[in-house]
Amino acid sequence: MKKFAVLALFLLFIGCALFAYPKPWNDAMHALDEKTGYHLPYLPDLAYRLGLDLKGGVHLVYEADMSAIDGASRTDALSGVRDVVERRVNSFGVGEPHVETTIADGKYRILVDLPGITDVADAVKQIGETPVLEFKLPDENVDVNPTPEQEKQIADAQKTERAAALDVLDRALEKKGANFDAIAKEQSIDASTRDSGGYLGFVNSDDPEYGGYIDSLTNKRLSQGVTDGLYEGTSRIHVMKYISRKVETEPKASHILICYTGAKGCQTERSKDDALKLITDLKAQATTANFGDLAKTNSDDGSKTQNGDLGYIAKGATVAPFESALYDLKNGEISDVVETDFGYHIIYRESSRKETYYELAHIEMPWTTASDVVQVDPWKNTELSGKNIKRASVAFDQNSGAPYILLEFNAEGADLFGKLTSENVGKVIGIFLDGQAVTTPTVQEPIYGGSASITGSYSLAEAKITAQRLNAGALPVPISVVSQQTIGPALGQSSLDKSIDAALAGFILVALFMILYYRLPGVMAGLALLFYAAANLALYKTMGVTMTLSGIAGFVFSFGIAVDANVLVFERLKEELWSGRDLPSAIEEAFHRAWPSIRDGNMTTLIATGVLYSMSTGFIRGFALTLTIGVLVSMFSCMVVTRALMTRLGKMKIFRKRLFYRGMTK
Amino acid sequence: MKKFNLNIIKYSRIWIGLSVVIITLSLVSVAVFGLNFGIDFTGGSLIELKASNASVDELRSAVVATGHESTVQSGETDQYFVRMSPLDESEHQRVLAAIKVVYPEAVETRFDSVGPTIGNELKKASLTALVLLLVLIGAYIAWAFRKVSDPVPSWKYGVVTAVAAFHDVIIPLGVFAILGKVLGYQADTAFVAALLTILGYSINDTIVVLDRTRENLFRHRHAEMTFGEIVNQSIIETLGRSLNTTFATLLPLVAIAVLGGETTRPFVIALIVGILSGAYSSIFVASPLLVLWEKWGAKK
Repeated sequence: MKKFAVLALFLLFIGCALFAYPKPWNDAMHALDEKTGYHLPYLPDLAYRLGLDLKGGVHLVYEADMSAIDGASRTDALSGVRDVVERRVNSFGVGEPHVETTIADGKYRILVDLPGITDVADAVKQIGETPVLEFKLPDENVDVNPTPEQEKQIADAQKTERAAALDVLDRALEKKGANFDAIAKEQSIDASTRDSGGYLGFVNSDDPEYGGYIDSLTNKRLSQGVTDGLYEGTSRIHVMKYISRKVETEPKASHILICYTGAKGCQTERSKDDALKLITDLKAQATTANFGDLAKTNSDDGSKTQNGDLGYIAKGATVAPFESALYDLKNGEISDVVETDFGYHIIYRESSRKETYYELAHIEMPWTTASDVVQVDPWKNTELSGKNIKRASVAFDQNSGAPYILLEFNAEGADLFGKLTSENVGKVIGIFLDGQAVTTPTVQEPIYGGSASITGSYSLAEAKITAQRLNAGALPVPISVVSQQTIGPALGQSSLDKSIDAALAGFILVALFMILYYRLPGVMAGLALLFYAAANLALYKTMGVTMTLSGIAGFVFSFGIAVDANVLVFERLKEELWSGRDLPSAIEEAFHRAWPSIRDGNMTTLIATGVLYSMSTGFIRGFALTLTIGVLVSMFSCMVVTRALMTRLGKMKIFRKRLFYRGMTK
Repeated sequence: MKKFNLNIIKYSRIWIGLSVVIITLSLVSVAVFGLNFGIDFTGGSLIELKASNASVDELRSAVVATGHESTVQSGETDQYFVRMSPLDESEHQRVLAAIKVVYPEAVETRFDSVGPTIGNELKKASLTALVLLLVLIGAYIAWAFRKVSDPVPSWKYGVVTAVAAFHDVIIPLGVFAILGKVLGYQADTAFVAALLTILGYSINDTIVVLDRTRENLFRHRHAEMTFGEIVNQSIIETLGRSLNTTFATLLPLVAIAVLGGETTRPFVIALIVGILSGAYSSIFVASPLLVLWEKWGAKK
């Protein structure tokens, strides 16, 4: 039996080595297949699971806000969040995303690993974009006015903010505003214009935010360039740049729209032919005098209540065929029939005006106003939320044909909704998606059916996407990022290369030391170490151990521990040989006697790695895991592999010469 | 049996004196410099940058201009570490943008942000782990020395082992207080992991030596040898193992420290320092202390 031990271990080693690194076998098989046509099975080439620190990526820790959930169902809510986040993350299409949850100290967390993602901002946004659906009731006790302390807080904040804004203004004024773009990119808090250097385009004095600035441009006859002074808009503060202006002639128009089934936004049943007939008829009747009346009685557009009046029409405000027809008219003329996506129009150009447009850019700076300080939430949460939704689908209103979203509740949700509606008849319920009120219907009567509808002003596409997102998962509770870690792919790759170099160097140094110091037994220890390394790597693959920097450090460190067992045995061997035993029995005795020390010694290390593993932060876990595996495998590799090799050698006469053993004979 | 004329026990006072000096120095440097706690404990954020010929001061002022107080350190060639309070993603992007205004070529290789609650929890978890490990190791020591022995009661072996463990942990702390000042090494969770590993790993060396002492006490109970002589013989007998094991363990660690890159270097250096002091304490602290204690007891 024992005769075959070495052979069996050798085969085990080959098996582990090829499993850990199957490329040579597979290449050889490929060559064999091509040359001779013999087909031998290929080995599975499983990849090592690399941690984020080795391949680059993002690690995000989210915390779920469980304040609205009662204690017992929080765990459920958390696993609900995990499912939703997982679905979201899987849709990124990155390799092996990993989502897990932890509950510690009453904190509910979701840990997300996204390997290979470099655009963190986008990833964070997409995960967070998962809709939060809430049902709320009006809160009767709210105060919208700031308290005296809050007023002081606002004044203080504005003081420092003004100073900061003035600093930026000073910088923007330097070099005749040449740095404006760069400063806007760096400083502006307006994300929509920041990247284009704060560019706002052409704006006229009707603009709700910048109208005041344009008035001051004309009143104070300001010149082009960066304006020396801060502009305070509705509730924001800006450094403004006036680039150019242009004067546009804007027609004032009225129109009559006749739409047909299938045209954009049309809610009237009419064939296209009928529509064309009707509009041709109207065109024949229309004069500047009766145009308003005709619009009022016939038009399918919302403007019919204003006798078809659309006001002044700026360039780009209407669809192309409409605009070109309107601009081709002279004042006081009525157009021919014009076809657009909305249906058929006839347009009447009443008059026109000259309007000046100003091309502006801005740097928006932080500015605290009452609405930032006074946390006014006129709504209070109810128990009903997205976790109670069984299904969301798109349905169409029977009268108007407008799409809306139908929510079907699960059993618990149906009960809650029934209770909510019966208790609040005649009151408003707010349905909130992502913190925005999408609809605030008044409860007419209790609804026990287990479904509700969200009717907002949706296009069909929007309704579909929202329903999909609700199905993909309305988050039962809001989540927020509490910690994140991003490792660039270049750093990951170089860390991996360095770690592999270090592991190879560590292996060679340890093996060399053992051979130089213990000679023949050292060679056996080296072989056992080779076996040890292959077995470890094969285990990492089968167990799916994620290799991290610290994990590799643990693996390399464990070479020392693996050799420690051999050192214990060889030192014992020395003593046994001194005491006069012959080689085979000394070998047997050395292993036998060294075993308690090896076992006890590794015990303390295992206790330590066990405690480390329980600390459960990523870096430490990898180290603790590989070190634990290493300690266990090292005992096997010493007590079985080194022992089998040494026993075999002890039986061969040629290897009994003293030159093979240093310091082991008298 | 071959005899070494090496008498370690004879110079017990010197070895222990040396150890007392080093421990005192370590405690003093912790007291004076303090530990440079990592952001995983304090909460905060870290941006690691590659930028050629950047100046630490300019980087700092660029970041400070975005309203985030920061410290900037340079690492390897072209490598810079910017530490700030915790940032959310939009703040992070703004800080990056501000850096890119000054150094358009700068590349962010790594970004960590840890909220203050996580930091507090990690602190707690680390302390819990440390206490848990001490309790477990204490229980293990009690178990390892459970057999009654003469002339030294077994609990004294336990106390001596605990003193050695204390020694092994204090010295890396002192070294890191100094390295924290000089090289910016941080006492982070990885450092705690290194300390815990050292506790587990080094203690078994001490146990092996003391175990041999008890074995020899039993074996030579009829021989004319003093306690000190028996202890000394036990140290000599286990010396080969202690030194070789320590050396074999240090080899791969040095390989990682030299070749393994900046990220794991502090962690591995903590391990190296701990294992060196562990080797010293198991040879030159635990056993000599036991002999001194026995002598002191006999005098009374």
